Amino acid sequence: MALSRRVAYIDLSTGKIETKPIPVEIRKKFLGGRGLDAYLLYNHCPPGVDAFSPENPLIVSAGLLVGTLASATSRTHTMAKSPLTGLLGSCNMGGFFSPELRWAGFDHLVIKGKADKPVYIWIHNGEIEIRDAKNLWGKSVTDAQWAVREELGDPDVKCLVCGPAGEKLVRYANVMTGVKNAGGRTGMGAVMGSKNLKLIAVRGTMDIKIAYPKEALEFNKRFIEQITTAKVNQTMGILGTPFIWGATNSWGGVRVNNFQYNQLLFADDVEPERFHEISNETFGKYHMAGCFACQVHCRARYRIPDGPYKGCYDEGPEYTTQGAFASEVGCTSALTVLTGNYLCNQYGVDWLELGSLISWAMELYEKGILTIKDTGGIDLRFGNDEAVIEMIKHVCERDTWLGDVLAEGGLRAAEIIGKDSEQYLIHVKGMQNLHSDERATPALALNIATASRGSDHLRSRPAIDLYHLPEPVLRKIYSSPIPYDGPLSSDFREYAGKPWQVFWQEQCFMAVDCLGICKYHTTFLGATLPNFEDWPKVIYYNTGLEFTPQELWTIAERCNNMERLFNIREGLTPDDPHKGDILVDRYFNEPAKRGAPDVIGARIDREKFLKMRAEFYRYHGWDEKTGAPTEETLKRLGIDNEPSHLL
Amino acid sequence: MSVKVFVHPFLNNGKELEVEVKGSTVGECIRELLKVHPQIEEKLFDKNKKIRGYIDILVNSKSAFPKELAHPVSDGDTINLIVFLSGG
Amino acid sequence: MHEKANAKALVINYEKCTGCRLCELVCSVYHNGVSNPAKARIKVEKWEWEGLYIPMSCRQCIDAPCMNVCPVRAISRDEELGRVVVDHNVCIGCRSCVAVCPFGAMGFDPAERKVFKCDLCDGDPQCVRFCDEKAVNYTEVSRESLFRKRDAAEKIAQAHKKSTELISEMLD
Repeated sequence: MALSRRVAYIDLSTGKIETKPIPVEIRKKFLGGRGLDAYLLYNHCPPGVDAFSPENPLIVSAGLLVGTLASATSRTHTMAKSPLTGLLGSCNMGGFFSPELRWAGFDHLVIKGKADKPVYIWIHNGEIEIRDAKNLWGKSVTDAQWAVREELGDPDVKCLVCGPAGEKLVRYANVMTGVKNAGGRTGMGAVMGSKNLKLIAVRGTMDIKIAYPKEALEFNKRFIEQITTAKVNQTMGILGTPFIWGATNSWGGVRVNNFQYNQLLFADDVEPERFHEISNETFGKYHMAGCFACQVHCRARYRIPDGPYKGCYDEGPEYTTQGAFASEVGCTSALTVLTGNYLCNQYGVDWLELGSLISWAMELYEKGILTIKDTGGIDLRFGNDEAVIEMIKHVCERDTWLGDVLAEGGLRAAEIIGKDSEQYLIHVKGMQNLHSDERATPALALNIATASRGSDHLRSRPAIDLYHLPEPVLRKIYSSPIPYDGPLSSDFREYAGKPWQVFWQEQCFMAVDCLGICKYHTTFLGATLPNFEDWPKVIYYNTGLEFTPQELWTIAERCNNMERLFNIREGLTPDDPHKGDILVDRYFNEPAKRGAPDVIGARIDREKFLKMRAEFYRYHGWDEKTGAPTEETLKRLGIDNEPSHLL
Repeated sequence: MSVKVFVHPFLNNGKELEVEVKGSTVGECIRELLKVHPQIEEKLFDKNKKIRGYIDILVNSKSAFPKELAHPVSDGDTINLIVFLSGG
Repeated sequence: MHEKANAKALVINYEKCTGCRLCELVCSVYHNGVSNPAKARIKVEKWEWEGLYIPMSCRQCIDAPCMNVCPVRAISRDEELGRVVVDHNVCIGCRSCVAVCPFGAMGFDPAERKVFKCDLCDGDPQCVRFCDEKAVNYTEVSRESLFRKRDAAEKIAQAHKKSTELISEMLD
C-alpha cells in the first residue's frame, strides 16, 4: 500500500536509525513529497542554523503517487536549509530513484548529523545501513553510481548522489540520479557533501498495493492520452525542452551577455533542431528517453561530437543548458553547450546558477571590475567558448581564486569582489535567475520575485500566459477549483489578473510536487493538461484516499504556507534586496533592447509590480508589510501551532 | 462562410491581429490569411512547410492538432494561432 | 499440435525503447494488483552509461526449455494463443524452469512460492497497450523478420540518399 511507506530518521553522527509510519491524518494534511518535506523541515531544522551545520536536516522523499499509475510518477524531492540562500532549499528531479525508494519501503528520509568519514546509505527492503564510502568519494556523479552497483552486486540499484561539486561544498551543487537527472537549485548536493554523505543507494522489491488496479489501469490510459496528445508534449517528445529556448529566443525573452540583451543572434548552431540533428548523428533516430512511467520522453541521448570530450555519452541538453552556456555567456556553439552539459552532470552542479554566475563575471570583466589577474589569465569575455568550459571546471574544483569565489554563490562572491559588482547580479533571494528575461512579462516577473526558493520558474510560472490563449480558455483554467471572477488577459504585457495566475500556478505546482508527478504532465506548458479537477480520481484509484479538488487546493495552500513560515523564520522580508520578494533594479531600470517590437523597450514598472505583489500576498493571506502568513490564515489551514512535531 | 482568425503578436511583428477569412478548413483559412498578411508565413511554417512545433492552432478554443490544416471549420468559428513561448 | 499460422507474439524493437519502464508497472498491476517490477513479466535491462535499454520477456519458445525441464509437466504450450503456460495447481515450485530459461523470463515469487511468466495477458498484452513508442509490439510471429528487414534496409536507403546528395553537390 502506498500509504504504508515509512519515514526514516538517520543520524550520521551517531549512526542511530529510527523509522516511523506516516499517519493517515498527516497524509491528509500534506499528502507527501514536497509538502510533507516542508512540514518535516520546519519541525526538524533548528531556527537560524548554518546550512552546513550537522543540525541542518537533509530530507529526501517520494511523492504520494510515486511508482503508481498516474503518468510520470517519478519525482524525487529533496529539502534542507539552503547553503546558497540561507532560506528554503528545495529541489525536485525525475529519473528512477524515488520509485525504487518506495519499493524499498520508504517515502521520506530525514538525514541529520555528520559522518566522521565519507559514507553512503544503503536502503533495501525495509533495511537501512550506513556504509563506508571511501572508494566512492571523489568520484564523478556517474562513476560513483556504477561503482556502488558493483560493490552491492546489483545493476538495478538506484542512487541519489552528490558529485565532486557537492563534496567541495559548491553552494549550488546538485543531488543527482542516473546520467543526468538533477535536483538542481539551492545546493542540496552541498548539504550532502557537508555531511560526508556521498550517496544514498536503494533497491526494493516490496509491493505497492494499488487500491483499485483495474480502474487505475483504465484511468491511467486516458490520463496518459490527455497528456501525450497535446501538441506541446509531442514537440517536447521530439526536440526535448530545447524547443522552449528556441521559440523564446526568436521572440526576445532570453538573457544574453548576462542581462545586456534579450535575444541571442547568429544562434543557428544552438537551435533545438541542431541538437536534434547531433543526437540523430551520434546516437540514432530513436534517441529520446523517458523518466519512470513517462510517455512524453523529453530527454535526448547523445555523444559529444567533437573536442576534448569527443565520444562521451550524455543526456540532454535542456533549454536551461542552452541558456547557461549559449545565450547568457554570449556563445553560439552547440559543442560548448553539450560539453558544459556533460561537465555539469559529471561534477553534479546546477548549470542555471553556474551559467548565470559565469556570465555575471564576464560582465564584471567587461566593465573592468574583474581583471585578467583575477581570472587567473582567462580572457573572460563574452562569447569565449573556451573560457566558459574552463570556468565550469575551476568553480567545481575550486582551484583558482575566481573559481573558488564563484563557488560561493552570487551574493557572497559580490561581497568578496566588492566595488559595484552586486548591481550586475541577476538574482532573487541570492539565487541566480535562469536564462529567461522577464522584463516584457509582468506575470513571469512576479513569479521569479516571489518563488519560495529564489529566482526560479518551477514554483509558480504561468507559462501559458505567453501563449495568447483566448480569454475563455484562461477563465476555465484559472477559475477552478476556486472561483475567480477578476480580470484575466491574453496579453502578456498586462499587469491586471496576473497575480491570480501566479498564485494559481504556485498552488498547482505545489500539489503536483506533493504527488510526485512531473510538471510537464500538468497545466504548465499545456493548457489542456491535468490539474486539480483531474487529480482526485488518480489519487483515489491508486491509494483509496478521497479528496475533492477544493481539498487538494487547501492542502497546496497549507504546504505553501509551511514553506513560507520557514522562509519568514529564516529572515525573509518583502523588500530585502538579499532575502526579499523583489527583483533587482535592472528589471525596473534597463529596457530590453532586442526581439519582437512588443518586447523592445520593455521593463517592469516598479509601482505596478509592487501592487501585483500586494495582491498576490492577499490571495495567500499574507500580511502586506511583513509578507508573513496572518494568524487567521494559519488557523484556517490548521498550522497555527507549528512546529507541532507530529512526525 | 466567415471565420475569425486571431494571430499571436509574435507571428505579426508584435501586433495582435484579428482577421476575417473564408474557408472550410484551417488550411484554407490560413491561405486566405497569408494573402493579406504574407509576413506571417515564415513564422508559421518550418522549412518543410509544416506548422512549427511551437505553434498550436485552436479552433473554437480547442487544439486542432494533429491534422491541424485539414481540420474543418464552419461559419462563425474562431481560429487562434498561439505560440508556445514559455519564457525560457 | 501445430502452431497457428497467425499466432502472435511479443515482438520487441529495443531501439525504440525510451527506458521508462511503464511496461513493468502495468504488468505488475494487471497481474498482481501491485506496483512492483520484481513481479513484472517484462523487464527493461539497461546499460545506462551508454543509453542502451532492452526490454526482455518470454519468447514463448516452440521447444521451450522450461517445458522440457519441468519434472511434473506443469508447463505446456497453448497453441491457440501461441504461449507457454504454467499450471499452478501442478507446479511444485522447484524453480528448475527458472534455472534453464536462456532469457531469464521465468520469475519466482518467494512469498507465493510460485513461478510466473508472461501470459500475453490472454491476448491483450498491457505492456503493448501502454507503449506509445511501439518498442513492444504484439505481432504475428511470421512478420517479425519483415520488420527487421525494413529497419535494416532503411539505413541502407539513407546512406544511399546521402551519397547521391554528395555526388550531386560535387557535380554542382
